[in-house]
Amino acid sequence: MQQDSRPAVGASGATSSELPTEFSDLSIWMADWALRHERDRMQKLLSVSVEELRPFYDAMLARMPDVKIYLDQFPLDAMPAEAQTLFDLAMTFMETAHVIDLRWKTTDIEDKFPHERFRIKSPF
Amino acid sequence: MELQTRVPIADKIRPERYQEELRKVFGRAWLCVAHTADVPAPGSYSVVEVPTFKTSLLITRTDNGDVRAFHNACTHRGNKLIRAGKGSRRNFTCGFHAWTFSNEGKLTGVPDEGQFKDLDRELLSLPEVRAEVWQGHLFVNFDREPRYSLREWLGEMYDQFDGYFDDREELSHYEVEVNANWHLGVNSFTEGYHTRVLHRNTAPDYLGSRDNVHRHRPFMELLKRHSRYSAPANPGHRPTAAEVVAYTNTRKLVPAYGTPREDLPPGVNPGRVANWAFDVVEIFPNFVALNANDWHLGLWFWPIDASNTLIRGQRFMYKARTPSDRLGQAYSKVRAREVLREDLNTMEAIQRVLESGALTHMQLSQQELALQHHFRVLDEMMGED
Repeated sequence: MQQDSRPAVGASGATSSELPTEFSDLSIWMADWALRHERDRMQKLLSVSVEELRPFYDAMLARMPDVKIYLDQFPLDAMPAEAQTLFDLAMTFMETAHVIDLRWKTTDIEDKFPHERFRIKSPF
Repeated sequence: MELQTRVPIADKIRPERYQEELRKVFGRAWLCVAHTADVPAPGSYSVVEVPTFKTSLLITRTDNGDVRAFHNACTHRGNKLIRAGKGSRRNFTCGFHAWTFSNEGKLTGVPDEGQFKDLDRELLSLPEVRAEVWQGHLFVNFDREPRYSLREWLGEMYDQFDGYFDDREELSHYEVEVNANWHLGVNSFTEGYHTRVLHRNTAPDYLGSRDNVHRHRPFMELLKRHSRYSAPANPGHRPTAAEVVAYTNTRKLVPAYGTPREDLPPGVNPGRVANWAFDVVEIFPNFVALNANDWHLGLWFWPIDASNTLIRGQRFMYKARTPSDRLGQAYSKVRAREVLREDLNTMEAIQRVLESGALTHMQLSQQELALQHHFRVLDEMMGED
C-alpha cells in the first residue's frame, strides 16, 4: 500500500504531548484518539465497541464548537503543535461520530464491503 | 438500437465475451486513467495501474506543462521502472541495471554503455501511450489508429465543464479488488433507485423528499455513448448532532448540500435543478464521475479479467483554508466512504448468482435507464468490425 502520510494540515504538522490549556479536559483522550491518518482513525473505530466510543463522542461533541473557534485562529497549514494535536483529536471525532449519530449497534455495520479488503490511499 | 428493459446480464459477463470486449471496447475507447491533479506541477509523476491491459502507466508532467503517459517498463529487459506512488522526480532509474529515463521518456543513462554493441537510444525511449487531457482528466487510447478523437468521444460534454474541476484538492483515495465483472461495478453507481434501501443505515435522508419518496431523478439524459442524471437533494434533510457541528462556519457537503453555485458550467447540474444534490455521469465504458457544488468523485472500473475488477475512487473537494473547512470535509468524506462500501458490496453476490445460472436477465426500471443505455452502447461497439 502506498504510504503517503502527508499531514492533513500541510507544511509543519508537528504535534505536542499536551493540548492547549483551555482544552486540558480532553487530555485523557489524546493518547488513543489524536490520530493523523484516515487509516488510523478507521482502524481505531473498528477496534472499539459502540459503548467504548460513546464517552469519546460525548466529550468531544460538547467541546467541538469551542474547539473549532479556537483552531480557526490559525491557518490550516501553520497550527502550533498543541493546536495540531487538538486538531488531530477533532479529526478522529469527525470520522467516528456517524456511528453514534446514526445509532449503529456496532462500529461497522454489516452488509458493507469488508474493511480488510478496502485499501485506503488517501493523502491524510 | 432499442433500449432493453430486460438485459441478458449473465450472457454479458461470460469470459468468452470479455475477450471481445477487450478488443472492441477497451481497445478502441478513450479511457480516463487519472486526474491530472496527481501530477500538479512540472516534474510531478504518478504511477497508475491499468490491469485491463496488464500494464502500469507512468504519468509525468514535463517542464513545459504537458502531461504524458508511458508504459512503466524499462526498455532494457522490461523491469517495472517505478513500483508505485506519486511525487516529484524528473529522472527515473530502473532498480535492475540503473538505466535512466527522463520524464519525456528519453533514455538518458546506461551504465557501462560501451558493452552494448548496437544501442540505439531513440529506439529505447519509454513506450508512450496516446494521451490527452480534458478538464483535469487524463484520457488514453490504446488503439494504434484511434477511430475517434477525444472530442468526438466525449461529444457535447467536451465543451461543457470549463474550469469546474480546477482548484480542488484530493480528500480520499480508495482501491478495492472486487470478484465481479466490471459491468456490475459500473451498474452499481449509475442509478439512484437503490439509494433509499441500500443506504438506509448510512445516509437515510440525503436524497428525495416527502413528495419524491422514491427519489426519482429530476434530470436524466442519454448521450450518444454516455449518460448523466442529477440526484434530488432532500430539502427536509435533518442533520445529526455531529453534522451540525461539522458544517458550522464552513460549507455543507454530503449528506447536505448548499445552494447550487451560480457559476457552474453548463455540464454541471445541466438541468438547473433547484434542489440539486449532485450529478452522476457515466463516461463509457468504465468511468463514473459524481459532480457537486464543492466536490467531485471519480470512480474507475478496470477489469482484471472477466470476473475480477479493480475499482478506484478518488474524491476531491474545494481547497480548505481553515481548520473548520478540513474538519467538515473529513466528516463528509467518511459519511461518503461508508455509503461507497455499501455500493461495493452487492457486486460479488450478483456475480455468484449469475455464475450459478439461477438468473439470466435483469429487469430494469425507468430509473435505471443509464444501465439500459450502457448495454445498448456496448452492443453497438461490439457490433463494429
